[in-house]
Amino acid sequence: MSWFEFVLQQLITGLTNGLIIALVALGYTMVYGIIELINFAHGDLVMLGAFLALTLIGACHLEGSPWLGLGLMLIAVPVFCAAVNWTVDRVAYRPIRHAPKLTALVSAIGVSFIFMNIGLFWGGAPMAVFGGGAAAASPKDVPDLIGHTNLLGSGSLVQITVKDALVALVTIPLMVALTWFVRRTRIGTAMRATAQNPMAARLMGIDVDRVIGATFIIGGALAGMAAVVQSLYYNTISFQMGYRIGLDAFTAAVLGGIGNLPGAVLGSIVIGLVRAFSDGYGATQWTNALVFLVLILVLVFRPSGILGAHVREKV
Amino acid sequence: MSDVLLELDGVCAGYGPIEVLKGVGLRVDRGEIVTLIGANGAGKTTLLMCCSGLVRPTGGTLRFDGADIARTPAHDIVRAGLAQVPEGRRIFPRLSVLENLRLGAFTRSNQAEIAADLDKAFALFPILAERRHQAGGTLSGGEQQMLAIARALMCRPTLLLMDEPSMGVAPLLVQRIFAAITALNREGLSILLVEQNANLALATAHRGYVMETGTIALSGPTADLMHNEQVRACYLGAR
Ligand SMILES: Nc1ncnc2c1ncn2[C@@H]1O[C@H](COP(=O)(O)OP(=O)(O)O)[C@@H](O)[C@H]1O
Ligand SMILES: [Mg+2]
Repeated sequence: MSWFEFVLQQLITGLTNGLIIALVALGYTMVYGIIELINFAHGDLVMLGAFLALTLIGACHLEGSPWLGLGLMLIAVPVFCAAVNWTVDRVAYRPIRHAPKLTALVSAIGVSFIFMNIGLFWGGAPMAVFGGGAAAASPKDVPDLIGHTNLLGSGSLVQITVKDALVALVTIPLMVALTWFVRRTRIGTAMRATAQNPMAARLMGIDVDRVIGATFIIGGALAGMAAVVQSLYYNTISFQMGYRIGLDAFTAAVLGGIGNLPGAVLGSIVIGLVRAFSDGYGATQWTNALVFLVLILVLVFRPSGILGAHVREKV
Repeated sequence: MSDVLLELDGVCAGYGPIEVLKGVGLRVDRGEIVTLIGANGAGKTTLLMCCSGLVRPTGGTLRFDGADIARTPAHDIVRAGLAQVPEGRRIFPRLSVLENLRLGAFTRSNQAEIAADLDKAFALFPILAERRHQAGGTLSGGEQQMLAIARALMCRPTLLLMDEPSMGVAPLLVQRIFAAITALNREGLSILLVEQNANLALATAHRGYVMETGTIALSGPTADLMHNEQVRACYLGAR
C-alpha cells in the first residue's frame, strides 16, 4: 500500500467513524444546549438501542433478508430510543429542572448505571444471538447483515465498503434533515429560542417543557440510528459500549462548541480522523491520549470550542 | 364584558424563603395605561412575573379578563392575551430580528394575519425593517427595546406589561418608545408600565401605583400622584 493509499484509507475510516460519533454527539449537544445538562446516559442509550437491534435480528431471523432487516431496525430502534429518552427526561430530569445543575448531573449518572444494568440483564436473555446465561456480560457478535464488499472493486487496496456507504447514506441525510428541522420549522425555532433564553421563550407562549421533551425525542432517535449503524459497522456490542461512545461523542461536542449542531459534527469528524490516523500508524495505545491532546489544544486557543458561540449578548 | 382587565388582590409571592410581595392589590381597566413605580428591589419585576405565570403567587387572587390565572401555565396566559416586555429585553441574541418577531406570534397560526402584523411592527419601528436579517444580539439597546416591544405585540395582546422600557436606552429613543406606548394605547391596548423614570411614567399613564418593599403605598390618578409631596420627594427628585 502506497503512502497515498494509506492516507486515503485512514481518511475514509476516520470520516465513517466520525459520522457515527456525530449522531450521538448531536443528541448530547442538543440536550446540553437546551437545559445545560451533560446527559451521561446518552451513550448507554445507544447501547440499549444496539441490544434491541441484535434482539430484532435474532427474533425475526433477519440474516436471511438483510435489507428488509435494516429497514425494520432503522425504524424500530430509533422509535424505541426516542421513547426511552423522552421517558427519562420525564421521570429523572424534569422533576428536578429547577434544582441546581449538579442535581440533574447526578441523576444522569444514575440513569447511566440503570441502563448498563438493563443491558447486562438483557445480554443474559436466553436467545441464541446473545449466548445467554453465563455469557451475559461478554461482548456479543452482531451478524454481518450487509457484508463488506469493496465498492472500489476487489483489486483495490483502498477500501470503501458497503458498510462505509451505509454509514454515509444514513447519517448525512439525517444531518441535513436535522439542520432543516431546527432552522425552518416552528418547533425547531422554538428549540433555538428556548436554548438562548428559556424565560423569554415562555413569555412568547412556548411550552418549554414540551420543547425540551421534543429535544429528547430527537436526540433519542438519532442515538437509535447510531446504534443500528454502529452495530452493523463494528459487528460487536457489549453492555459497556456506551461508556466509550458516550465519551467520544461528548468530547466531540465540546471540541466543536457545546450546544452547536455543526460544531458537534465537525468535532466528531476531527475525533474520527485523529483516531483513524493514530490507529493506522499502530499507535493504538496512544489514541485516547491523542484525542484529548487535540481537545485540550483546541480549548486552550478557543475556550468555547471550534464553532462555539461568538455573538455576545448586549446588556 | 367588564371594564376590569387585570385584577390583583392580596397577592403574596417570593423566591423560596424570601417573601417579596406582601399582599399587593392592583387593577388595570380596559383602555388604561397604569404605571407602577417604586425603588429598586421593591418587587415590581416580581409582580409582573406573577402576572405572566413565571413566579407563582403563594397567596391572594390574580384575575385576567375574568379568569383566575394564579395557576395557569405561562404559555396559556400568553394565549389568553397577556404579553410582557421583560426587564432587560431578553431578545434572542442569535436569532434574526425577523425570527424574534415571528416567535412573538408563536401562539398564532394564521400566516396572512401574522404577515400583516409584521408589516405593522415595521411601520411602528422602521429601524427593525432595516435590520430584519441581523442577529438580535447585534442591535443597540434602544433597538433591542423596540424589538422587544414589537415582538410582544405579535401575539395580539389585550394587555401589555412593560418592565422598565427606558432602561439602557438613549434619550432620543426613549422619546420614540414612549410615543409608541401612547399611540398603542390610543388604538385600544391596555398597558401596565413599570418604570424607573417616574416623571416620564406619570406623564404617560392615566393612573399610578407606588410600591414600597412588597406593598402598595400609594395609588391614584397620575395627576394627583404628580402633586403628592411624598412622591415628589422620593421619586420625582423635587425638594
Ligand atoms: N430570582 C430571584 N431569586 C431570589 N430573589 C430574587 C430574585 N429576583 C428578585 N429577587 C429579590 O426580590 C426582591 C424584589 O426584586 P424585583 O422584583 O426585581 O424588584 P424591582 O423590580 O422592583 O427592582 C429583591 O430584593 C430581589 O433581590
Ligand atoms: Mg425590576
